[in-house]
Amino acid sequence: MNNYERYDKFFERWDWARAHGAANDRLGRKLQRGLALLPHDALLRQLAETRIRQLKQMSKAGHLPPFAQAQLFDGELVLGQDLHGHPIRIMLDWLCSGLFTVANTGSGKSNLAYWLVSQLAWLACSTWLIEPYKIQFRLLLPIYQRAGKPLIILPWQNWRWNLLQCEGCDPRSHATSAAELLVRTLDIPGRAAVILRQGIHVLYTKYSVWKGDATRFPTLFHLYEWVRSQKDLNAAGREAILDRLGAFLMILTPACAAWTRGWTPQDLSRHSIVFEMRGASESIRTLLPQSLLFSVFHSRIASGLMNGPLELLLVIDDAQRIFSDHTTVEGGLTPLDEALGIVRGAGIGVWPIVQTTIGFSRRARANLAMRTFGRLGTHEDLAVMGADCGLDEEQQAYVQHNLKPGTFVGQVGLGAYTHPFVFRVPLAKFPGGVKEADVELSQAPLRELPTEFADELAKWSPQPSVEVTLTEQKPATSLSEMEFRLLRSIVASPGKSISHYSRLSRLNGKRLAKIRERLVGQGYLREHSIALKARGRTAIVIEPLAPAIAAVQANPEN
Amino acid sequence: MRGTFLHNQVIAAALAKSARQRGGHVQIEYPIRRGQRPPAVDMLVLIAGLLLAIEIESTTQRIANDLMKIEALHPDVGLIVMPNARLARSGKAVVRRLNATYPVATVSIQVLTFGAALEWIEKNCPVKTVAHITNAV
Repeated sequence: MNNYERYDKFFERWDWARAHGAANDRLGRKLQRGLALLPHDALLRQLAETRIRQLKQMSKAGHLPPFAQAQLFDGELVLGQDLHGHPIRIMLDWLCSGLFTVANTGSGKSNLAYWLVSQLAWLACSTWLIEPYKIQFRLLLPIYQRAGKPLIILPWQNWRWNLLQCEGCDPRSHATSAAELLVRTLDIPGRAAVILRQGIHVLYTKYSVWKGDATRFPTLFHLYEWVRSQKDLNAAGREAILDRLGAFLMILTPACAAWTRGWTPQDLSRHSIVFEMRGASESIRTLLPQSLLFSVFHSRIASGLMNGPLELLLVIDDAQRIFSDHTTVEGGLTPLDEALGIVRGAGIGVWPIVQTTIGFSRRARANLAMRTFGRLGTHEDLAVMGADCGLDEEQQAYVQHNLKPGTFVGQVGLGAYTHPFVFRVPLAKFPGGVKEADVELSQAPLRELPTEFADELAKWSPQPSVEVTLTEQKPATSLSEMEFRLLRSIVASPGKSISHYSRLSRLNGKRLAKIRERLVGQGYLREHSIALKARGRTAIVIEPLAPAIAAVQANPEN
Repeated sequence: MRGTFLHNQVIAAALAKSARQRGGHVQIEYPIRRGQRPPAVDMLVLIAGLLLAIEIESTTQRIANDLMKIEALHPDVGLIVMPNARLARSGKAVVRRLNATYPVATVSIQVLTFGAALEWIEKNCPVKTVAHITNAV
C-alpha cells in the first residue's frame, strides 16, 4: 500500500463497486484478477475508476439499489435474477426450514410461487399447493405433465376427509389436536368443548382406536349423532355443539366427510396435489387445510425426525387465516405453531404466502428461515419485514419506493450469505387453460387408494327424519288353478302382450281379462300400455311383481 | 341399467336384440364422458355405419337432459323412444320447443314409439349376410 492509498481509499471503493456488480462481466473479472496481481498498475486502476465513477453516478441519481449483490451461486432452485441479471440460487433442502412471502395484492406473489413450483416439477419432491380462494395453480398441470410427474387437482368437494382418522400417529395427541381445532374454528364455548372431547374419547373407544385398530375411524357425523343421542348432557353445551357442528357438516356434506377411512397424509404425501378451496365456507377453508397440516406433521413426527432431504413442500397461498395469530382456547401456543417448529427435520417445507404480516402468527414467522417480501401496503409491514431481514435505513427507503411488481427483497437464514438482496422473478407464462375433464382425470391416482364410506350417513341430515314408505299390498293367498296358470306363463316370459299369454295359458280373452284384473288388484301384476307396432292400437304388456314370482316359486307346476 | 321393468326388460332389451340381430354393436348405459359417475345414454349402437344414441323415456320431463347427452356424443342419429303414441307426440313437441331455443344442430333427433323405433332400425339397418366361402379345388 503506498501513501496515496489511505487518501483515495481505492480498494474500499472497488470493493463497494464489486458488491454492486462492477466485476460481474468478463472485463470486470479480468480487472479483479489484474488488481490482485498488480495492485498499483495505472491502467488497471484507471479502468476500475471508470467503473466506480459510473456506479457512483448511478447511486447519486438513485438508480443503484443500496443492496449488495447476493453471493448465492449454488443450489438446485433459481429464486430469481438479481438486478444485474445474474441468477440467485438456493439449495432445495433450505426449503425444509420454511419460506415466508409477504407482498400486497398484484405484486407477483403467485408468479413467484409458479416460478419455484414449476422448477420443483423436475425435482424429486412432492408439492402440495393449497388455494383458499383462487384456482390458478391448476395451470401448472401441463408443466407437470411435461415433466412426467402427475399433478392432482383436488377441489374440496372431492376430498375424502376424516378429521378423526389418526392412522400412523398417536391417537391421544391426534384427538387433542382435532378437538382443539374444532373448538377454535367453530368457536365452541368451554362447556361444549369438554363434551366434544368426551365424545371423541367415547367414539375412539367404540371403534377400538385406543386398542390400535386402524381400519375404521369415527367421523364428525358420528360425533354429531353421539352428541344428539346424549340427552342428559349439559343442555346449553349440547345445543351449542349441535348448532355449530350441524351447520358445518351440512355445508361439508357426507360425500366429503363421511369416510370411516379417508385418505391418509402418508398416502397423499406421495403425490403433488393442488387443494382447491374455492366456493367453500370460511370454516371449511380454515379447518380442512389445518387438519391436513396437523395430520401430516403428526405422522412425520411419529415416524421419527432425522434431518432428511426435502420430501414435501406445502405452499399455502393466502395463508392469513390458517396461520392466524389467535391463541388456543387456554391462551397457549396453537398446535400449528408448535408443529412448525418441529417439522424442520421431517423433510417438510412450509411456504405461507400472505398479503400482510398483520394478524400472521409471530411464532410461525420465527420458524420460517427464508423470507421474501415484495411491495408492501402498510408502514407496519415494512417495519416488521425490514427488521426481520436486517435492512438498514437507506435500504428501507429504497424498498418503499422502488419495488415494482415481480421484484422482491429476500433474505436467506441458512448458508454462508445471510444479507438481504433484491431479486426479480420472470413472468411465468402458461399454455392455455385446464379442462374439467383433465381435472377429473388427474384425480385417478387418489381414487385407487383404499377408502371406506359410511353408507349409513349417505342421507344424513341434522334434523332427524323418518322414512315413510308404502307397505306393499299383501296379495290374497288363495289363488285358483287358472290364476296360477296365468301367473306361471307370465313369470316364465315376462313383458309380453296379453294375447301372447292368452295363447300360452290356454285361456280365452274374456276370462283372462277378469283374472288379470283380479291379479292386478291383488298386487301380483302390473300393466303397461305400449305401442309394440308402428301403427294400430297400443298393446298391454304385463309385468310380474315380486309376490307373483314368490307364489309361482312356492307352487311349481306339477 | 337404471330404469324400471318396462324400460329395461321390454323396450331396451327388444331394441338391443333387434340391433344385435342386424350385426350392430350395442353398448348399454354408455357414459358421455370420463369420470366417477358421468351421465350415460341408455344405449349406443354402432350399426350399418351409423352411430345411434338411444334414450328411452316414459315421461317428457327428462327430454332436455337427453338432448344434452345425445349432443355430447355426436352420433349420426339420436332416437328418443317412448312407450306409446300419446307420449311420443308430447315428446316431439318438447324437442321442437327445445330445438327452437337451443338448436341441436349437428344431430338428427327422432322421437318414436317403441314399435316405430323397432321398425326404424329394421328399415335403416338392413341385415348383412356373410358371404359363403367354399374351398375351390
